[in-house]
Amino acid sequence: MAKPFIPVALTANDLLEGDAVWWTGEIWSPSLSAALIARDEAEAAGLSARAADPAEGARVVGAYLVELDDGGRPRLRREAIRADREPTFAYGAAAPLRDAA
Amino acid sequence: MYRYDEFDAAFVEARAAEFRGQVARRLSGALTEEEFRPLRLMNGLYLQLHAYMLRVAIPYGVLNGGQMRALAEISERYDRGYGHFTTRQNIQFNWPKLRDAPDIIDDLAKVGMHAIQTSGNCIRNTTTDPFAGVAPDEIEDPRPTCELIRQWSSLHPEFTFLGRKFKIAVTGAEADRAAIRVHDIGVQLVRNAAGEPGYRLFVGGGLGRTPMIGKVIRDFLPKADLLPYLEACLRIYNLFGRRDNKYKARIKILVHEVGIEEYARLVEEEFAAMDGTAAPDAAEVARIEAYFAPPAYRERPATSALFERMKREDAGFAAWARRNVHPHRVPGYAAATISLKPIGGAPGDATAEQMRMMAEVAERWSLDELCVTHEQNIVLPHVALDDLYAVWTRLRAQGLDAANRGLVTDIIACPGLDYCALATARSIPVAQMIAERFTDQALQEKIGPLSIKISGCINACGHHHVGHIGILGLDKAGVESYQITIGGDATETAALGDRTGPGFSYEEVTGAIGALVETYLERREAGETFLQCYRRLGMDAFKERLYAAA
Repeated sequence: MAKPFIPVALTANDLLEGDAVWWTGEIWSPSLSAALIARDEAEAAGLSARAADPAEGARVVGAYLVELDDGGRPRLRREAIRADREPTFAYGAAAPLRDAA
Repeated sequence: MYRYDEFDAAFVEARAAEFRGQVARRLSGALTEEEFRPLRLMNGLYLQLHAYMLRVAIPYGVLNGGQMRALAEISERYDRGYGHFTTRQNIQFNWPKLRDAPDIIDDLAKVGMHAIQTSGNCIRNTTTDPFAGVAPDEIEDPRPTCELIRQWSSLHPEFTFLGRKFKIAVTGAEADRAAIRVHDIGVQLVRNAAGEPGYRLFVGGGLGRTPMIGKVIRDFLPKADLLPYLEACLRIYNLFGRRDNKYKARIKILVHEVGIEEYARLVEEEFAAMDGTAAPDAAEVARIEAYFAPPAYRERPATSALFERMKREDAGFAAWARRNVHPHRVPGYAAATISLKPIGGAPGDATAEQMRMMAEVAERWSLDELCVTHEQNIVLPHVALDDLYAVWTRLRAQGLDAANRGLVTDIIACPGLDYCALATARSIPVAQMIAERFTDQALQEKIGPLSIKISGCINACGHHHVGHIGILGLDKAGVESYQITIGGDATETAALGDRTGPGFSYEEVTGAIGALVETYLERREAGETFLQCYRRLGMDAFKERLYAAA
């Protein structure tokens, strides 16, 4: 039996800003929730073609497909952290420093 | 400390202008990413998980207050108001924009700094003992040697495109505080039977996916021969090192595969055939050494009544003095470690305000000098004993007073999955959870010297192989899993840690570290450190408790 297709979205990093961005079908958006989700092989092939388009190389870097779960979140922790656009802890001036007891 | 001369300044400015042109050509479409990537990497600009990352070189970790202020300014103007000090004694900014990168490089050049050779398959920043120049046990100050290597290796035409990156560390003392035995080449200043200064050289050490302890290739090398000999070592590596597999391309693999005897034979043969042009000019060596002449210390009594009184009156200061104040070769002075490992912080991180505070303290009380340590802390190398309480009070105002240097909460951690594109597991949050468990200062001091080192992937940027307790974060079928090693050692008694057994989940790893520490506390003999206890008892004693609940 064929394995069920896992939905995917196309991501990359913005060339100028470096930020993680997602292909919406029209533009590259910083929000995963705006991403165009491929729900079958044909749609995924369309996203792969977009990733390979040399014209995109002038706007983004390193485009690749990310697998999503049923809720539209990345299946891998790495991609989930990346999609959240932040480390999983408070950093810089927001770090909750305190003295040893 | 060394100050860039006109040649250095012109070189850095030329590279900044060149990089600006490269970025412009990338943005115009004249360069593809494939063409641009090696160029940006040669200038320290990576593309990480969330953003670009710029790694700035701090030669052998030494910088002055003005340079630290410039780093603070850059972090605020172009980044998110903080920086991350690394195990290579450098600093990384985690959120710069490509469009700002040329301006950042220009701003760095204004204070004699740059990002050249902080990435790529070249000779990286030479690291050293953070107490270089002030350690009482030092044979000689290792920094002139580091500077000589920096000048020799900067854009060296033969060694700019090596098979892999190449790391050199130098120590001036028998006590190894620079981890020289786990570097591609380790350099130790020694004296021979006649009392002449020279070097003992180690080769083929390294961490990563194939960790190895370096082997002695020369027990004594006259000082004047250092650069020719290094050149011979690099040349043999460049000629015979593998290029077919990046995971087998480090010099340690070559030395391991051909054997130290054969590698040494090839190097000696090459060295003997050299014509002497690689040797540095004696006048240039003298010029470099002059920059590292001892600063203008004031004559002071060997002890300080004020220092002793404040230790009695302020328990917090006394704890800091016990852990973070170190002997100095000049009477009346000490070196002090500013810990970048506060409870709740990310190891090695400092905000712009903290950087400014460190700059101010260095300018006012440490003869305008700071040193980044490979343990991701900062050393103030020249503080008068009389001034230590004032220094501590100022540091305390910015949360920089953690009294934990060398203790269980002084954890080395790589950026891990929260920042790094290569990582397979989180490391900073693991460090934070462990630090939270050992918040009690009295407990930390009861445990005594214990280095925990955490890497978020097999590349081992957190040096986990040589932690007394090492933690390696891996991905097991989409779930973070942490392998633990014990018995690692980065010093003159260097050893690679032994793996305990199956890994632990993210939720379990703190408890596992707790079990190891409890075992040590229960079974140690009087005065015995964690490492000594492990070497006496062996793995089974620790493993039994570690996996008891499984």
